[in-house]
Amino acid sequence: METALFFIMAAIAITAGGMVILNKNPVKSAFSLIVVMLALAILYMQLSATFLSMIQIMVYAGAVMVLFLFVLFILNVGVEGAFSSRMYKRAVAGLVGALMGVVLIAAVLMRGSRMQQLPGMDVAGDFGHIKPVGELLFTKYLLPFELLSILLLVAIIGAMLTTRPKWPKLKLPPELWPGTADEASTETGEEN
Amino acid sequence: MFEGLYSWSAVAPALVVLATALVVMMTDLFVEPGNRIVPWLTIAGLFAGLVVSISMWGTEEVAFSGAWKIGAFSIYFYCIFIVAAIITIFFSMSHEERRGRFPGEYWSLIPFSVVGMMVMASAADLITLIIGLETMSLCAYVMVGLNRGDKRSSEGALKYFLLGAFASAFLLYGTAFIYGSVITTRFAEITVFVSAHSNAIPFNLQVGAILLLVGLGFKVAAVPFHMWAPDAYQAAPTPVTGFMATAIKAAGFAAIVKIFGLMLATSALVLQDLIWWLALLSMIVGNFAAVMQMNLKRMLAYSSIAHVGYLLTAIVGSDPGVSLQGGTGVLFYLVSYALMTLGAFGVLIIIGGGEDRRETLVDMTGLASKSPGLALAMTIFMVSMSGIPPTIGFFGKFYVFGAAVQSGYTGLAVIGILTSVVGVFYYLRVVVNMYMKPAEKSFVPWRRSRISDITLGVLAAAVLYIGIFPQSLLDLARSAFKSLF
Amino acid sequence: MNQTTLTLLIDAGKIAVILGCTMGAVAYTTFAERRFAAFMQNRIGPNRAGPWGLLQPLADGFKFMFKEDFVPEFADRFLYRLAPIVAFVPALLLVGVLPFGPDLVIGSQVIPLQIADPNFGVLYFLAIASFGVYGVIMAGWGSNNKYSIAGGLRASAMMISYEVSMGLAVVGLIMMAGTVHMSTIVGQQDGFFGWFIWKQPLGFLIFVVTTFAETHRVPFDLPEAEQELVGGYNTEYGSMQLGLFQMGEYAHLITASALMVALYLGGWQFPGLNLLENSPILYALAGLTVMAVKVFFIIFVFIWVRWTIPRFRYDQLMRLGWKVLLPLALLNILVTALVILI
Repeated sequence: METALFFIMAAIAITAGGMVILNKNPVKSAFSLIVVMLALAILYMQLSATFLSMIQIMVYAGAVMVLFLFVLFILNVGVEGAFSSRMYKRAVAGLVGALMGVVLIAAVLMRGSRMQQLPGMDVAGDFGHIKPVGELLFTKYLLPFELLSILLLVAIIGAMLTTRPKWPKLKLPPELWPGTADEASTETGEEN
Repeated sequence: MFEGLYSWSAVAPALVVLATALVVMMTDLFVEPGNRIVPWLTIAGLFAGLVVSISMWGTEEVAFSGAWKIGAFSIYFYCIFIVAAIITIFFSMSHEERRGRFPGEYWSLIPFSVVGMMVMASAADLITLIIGLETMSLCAYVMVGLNRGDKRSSEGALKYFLLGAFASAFLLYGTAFIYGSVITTRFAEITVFVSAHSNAIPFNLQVGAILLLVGLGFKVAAVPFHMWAPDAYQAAPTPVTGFMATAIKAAGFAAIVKIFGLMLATSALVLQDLIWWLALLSMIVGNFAAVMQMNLKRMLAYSSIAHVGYLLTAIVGSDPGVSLQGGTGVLFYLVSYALMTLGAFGVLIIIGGGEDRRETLVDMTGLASKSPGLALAMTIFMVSMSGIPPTIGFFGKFYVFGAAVQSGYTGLAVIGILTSVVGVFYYLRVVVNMYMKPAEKSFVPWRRSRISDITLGVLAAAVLYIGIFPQSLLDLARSAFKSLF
Repeated sequence: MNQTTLTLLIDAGKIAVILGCTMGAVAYTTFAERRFAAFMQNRIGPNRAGPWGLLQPLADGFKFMFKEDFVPEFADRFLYRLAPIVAFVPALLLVGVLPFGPDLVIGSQVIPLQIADPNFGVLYFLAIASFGVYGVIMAGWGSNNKYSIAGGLRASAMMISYEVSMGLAVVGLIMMAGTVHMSTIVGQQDGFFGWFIWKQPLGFLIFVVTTFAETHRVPFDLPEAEQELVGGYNTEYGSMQLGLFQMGEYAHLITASALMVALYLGGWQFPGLNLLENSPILYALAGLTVMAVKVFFIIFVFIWVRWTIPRFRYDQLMRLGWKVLLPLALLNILVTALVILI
């Protein structure tokens, strides 16, 4: 039963993943991506990573994809504009994708029996629950966890800075104006 | 279990710089736009970080349960980052007088990106490394896009952002593969695993290593992952370009040295051949494309790609167990490259007034008669970049190619030397333009800026001084590299 | 009959009964809403179908069923059809982790009055509840109508703004309870002053406000806002499709109220209830009743608010979400952490 569920969810995830890239309408692609996320969440749960599974639904399927859709709605990306009509570009992209796929499949197949012999593969009884995950985050992965807050702060500053319509001009006294008069005028024009 | 969990002393330099970033960000809120106190505060904070870093030279500490390792290697890189950042701020202040104001957040983005770089330089864990790299990259994306309203600039910034995000995906994918085969992300444990399994490296580890190489190759702009570099370099405000070419590249190489020069430095990996190809292509494409460029920022972009190629020749096949020369060469080269590149961009900032118009080869004609000091400084930087003694650039190339010869890659070294000759052509073309051609168009005067004059003078002096007495820097580089293992 | 089969049968029975009760409650909540609205506006309200109008929900249901089922010409057929289902199903899924009463003991058989008690109970609730918004977004996009799209946009923006505060408000409670098991959280709220509302007053307040937004109730019903958006996302819908949307909303309202009761108001616990502990069946029934009364009281508050408070403007809504609720929720976590530390 568990195996059957795995294959069903895997099939759903792959199909929906294909629809993400094959759909010509970006909104529909986004909806397909939600399906991928949900299927992944169920697969995580099968791997007894229940906390990760819930967070996957809450953060990715729930919040991130809503933001995606929000942006798509506002931009109202047309079906035509979203796609390059050049065939060779698609061919190259397809080739690279196929290559990555082959590598991934090979990696899974080559895994063989070696992986099971490695240490750290035993799953404890409460593996994936909130408590052990939190404990790991605050002990073994304390540093990356704290560093993430800096990363997020930088991301916020960057987002604010790039989306701000314009920043106030510097008023230079005339004797500091660079170059000739016409250059000074182009300079002030640049900020607008 | 909680042994060595956290340690304030191990992160002290990074904390000082982080505090600087936060203080500067808050100060900017309360002062009038354009107040000079903000950049000076940034410099003061960075300087404090530098002092703390240097005072920790010689200490070695592994903290955060193995995710962080501070030692001579990290501190060596800290110094590169902080000095490059301080010089960038000096140049930015003089750039402001010519091209208009930077937004207040700019001054805090520089220390923020330095924090990211410091994390990269002392990370002993793949996840930590990637978070540091992302922090740095996010700052860089934003800073590249600061030339608002210029379509070409937005295009360059967007290209940089998209390809950078793509590269990050490669890095994460590679990390996942490595974790999948080793069940750890700690460098020390991976090193042990690799040396224990050196006759049968798992396929997943091979794939992961290659993906990491692709990702880092994107970040340092090695051919064939260099497409973004010329556009982004040209798009960014010139001080930012200088910062990207030096500090960000150095941070990328801190990661490369740690991962490919040490952790995965075994000939059992297919990787070594790939790095060989990357080095070769970077040297050839970078140098020959640079010849075609009339825009000096683009030219320096391609030349930086070529320099990545030179740096990679020292990484190829360098086995730290046999010889320290490869890693030492890279560390030495990074300092030399930082000094001369910052100098070259500094000159471009001074002559490039108004719009980004005066940045082509033609604009340099007759510079010697208008401003002999500036022309002399530019000559020193160009000579150093082409690797002619008695400049620092000569020794950089010497050590790097020497390392390649020593590890048996003589062919690569020969190609490196041949392509350097191509480099001589386009670097000296600038000098020829400055000295031997009369000014074609009336030269628009620019305002002298004492800060950048002094900075340029110091840089030029450093290029010459270390070019004559390279030994002490070389010793520093060697002990820094030695501290890694 | 062996134990496995028995457990399976009991579980199936529980699911059937709980779903049936929820659907019935949905039907009568609509009725209650109309009667209360009438009462507050000094009208009579629906009173013709059956005694006191009690058969009104049935009549409404028949009306929805027999209306013409249509798809507007320019709509995206697939999304248009899917949207009401996506809006309705998550609301029903939510009842899965709610504890309705103490364990029912019949002979040797212990039956927890809860469909499932996973180790991620509260998280499940937050995750699935955030999913309901997709029905609204799909409807907005699929209808291909500008009012609908505006409704969908508003719903997505609102969900983002309020989901964060809601999650953070619950984090304070989780820290205090030290678990995310729903049954354990209810079990901890022994005695009147053991209810988490007394330990987490600020968290409760934020949770209530965000629940209003989560269920798209006045004063946060911007996605449908009849006066501005002609019904918003459901402008183009009719017949049972519209019925599903409305049932989804009411089901969400009921489950959200039940969650609020379970998390903050002691769930099925009530002072003096444990006197009945010796007769398990009576105890369970009393617990169920207490739960039902509390849930009904919360629903009544929702209805009450709907007919007394005007709607927020969009920018006010955003400001409240990001500038008031979010900092307050963070403050709540901070204070809770300090209290736990001391």
